[in-house]
Amino acid sequence: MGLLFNNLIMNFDAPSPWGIYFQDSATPQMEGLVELHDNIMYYLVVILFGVGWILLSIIRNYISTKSPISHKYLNHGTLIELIWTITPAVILILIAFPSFKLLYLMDEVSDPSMSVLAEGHQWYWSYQYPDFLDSNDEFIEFDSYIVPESDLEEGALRMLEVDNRVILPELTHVRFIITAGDVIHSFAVPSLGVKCDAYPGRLNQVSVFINREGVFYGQCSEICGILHSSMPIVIESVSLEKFLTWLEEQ
Amino acid sequence: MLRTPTVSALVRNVAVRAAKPTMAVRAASTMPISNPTLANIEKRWEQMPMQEQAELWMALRDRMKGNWADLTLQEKKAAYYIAFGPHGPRALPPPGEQKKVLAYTVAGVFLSFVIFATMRAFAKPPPATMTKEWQEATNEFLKAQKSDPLTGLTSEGYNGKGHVQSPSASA
Repeated sequence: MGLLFNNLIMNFDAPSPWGIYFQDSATPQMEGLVELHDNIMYYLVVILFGVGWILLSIIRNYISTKSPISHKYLNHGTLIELIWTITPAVILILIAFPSFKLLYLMDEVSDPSMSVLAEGHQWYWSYQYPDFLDSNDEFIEFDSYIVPESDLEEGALRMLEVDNRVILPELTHVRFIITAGDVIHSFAVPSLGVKCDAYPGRLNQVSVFINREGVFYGQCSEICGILHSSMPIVIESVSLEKFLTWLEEQ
Repeated sequence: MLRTPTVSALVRNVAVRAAKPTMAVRAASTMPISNPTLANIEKRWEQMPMQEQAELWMALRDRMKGNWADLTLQEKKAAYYIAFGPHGPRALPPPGEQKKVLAYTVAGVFLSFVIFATMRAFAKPPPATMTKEWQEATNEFLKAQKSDPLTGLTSEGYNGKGHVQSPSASA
């Protein structure tokens, strides 16, 4: 059943047509988020059917043709009020605890091996690798613009592909420092479980530990102007050797 | 019944007058209300002047202060009708109302569809990437990138359509 579900409803590193579930996770954070979502869905289904059943049985049993005298003077019942106050409170606690646990775990920036500065602009991202110098002894930095539809390589993803991808080594703790140059943007890559607002004059940080090679697509997630939809993010995770080769080439 | 401000005010007035020392204080009435007063109350109630409605209700309430078994059948029927009958906020909708609501709803949905279709007729054609050929190429492109190895395109035993969702360009 699970296989069937996964084959019918696809999960991608990139968005998929009619996708209604998460993209494949590539970081422990995203795995945590998917698991939290699935756990909360369990409670939601129980609540949906519980409340639905109560509603339907009230409609069925107290319909005007069956029970012509309305129970208009029945307006207080201590036991039932206790039940419908305490039950939701317990459910909320059951949801809140794992949620806070995950939230604070995700907030933790654990001893990063390297940092990447991502700066949002109207309407492109620019990146800087402050730990590495290029052949001119300057920080490696580049702008990353969308590839317009007319320039797409056959089969490439429209509105998602960029001219310069962010190259990162897999299985390495990377810290993203996120800021913006003009207005508020948001740096979001679903399969990495990252969504962080980029504010001008402020540095936000998120920690990423990509556990496989792959190409991960994201988009600006804070309305930032007319071309908000045209500043995608592409992160390519490669093996450490390939990453070092890439660094050499800069 | 007796929820609207005017009627409640009238009832209060009647009650205040009844409580004046110059008048006899109303207590549980032992005299049944005459049948003609109560006959066909369902048909007459809504046409009755408010003052009359209030007085009749007060009379019935006085009767109900005593033993309910002593009430006449007419009184019971009238008291039930006034308290719970289909008048005022409980009035039944006029005949044909459901059909009217349905008709207006269908007309509204249809109108929205017409507006949508009109706007759509002036829209740009779908982008060049929305063809079967391009989407098949997208599948290959993503396979080359090893996209979605857990549950998607490059996962083991995957046999879905991937990104293919549009008809062929030649179709």
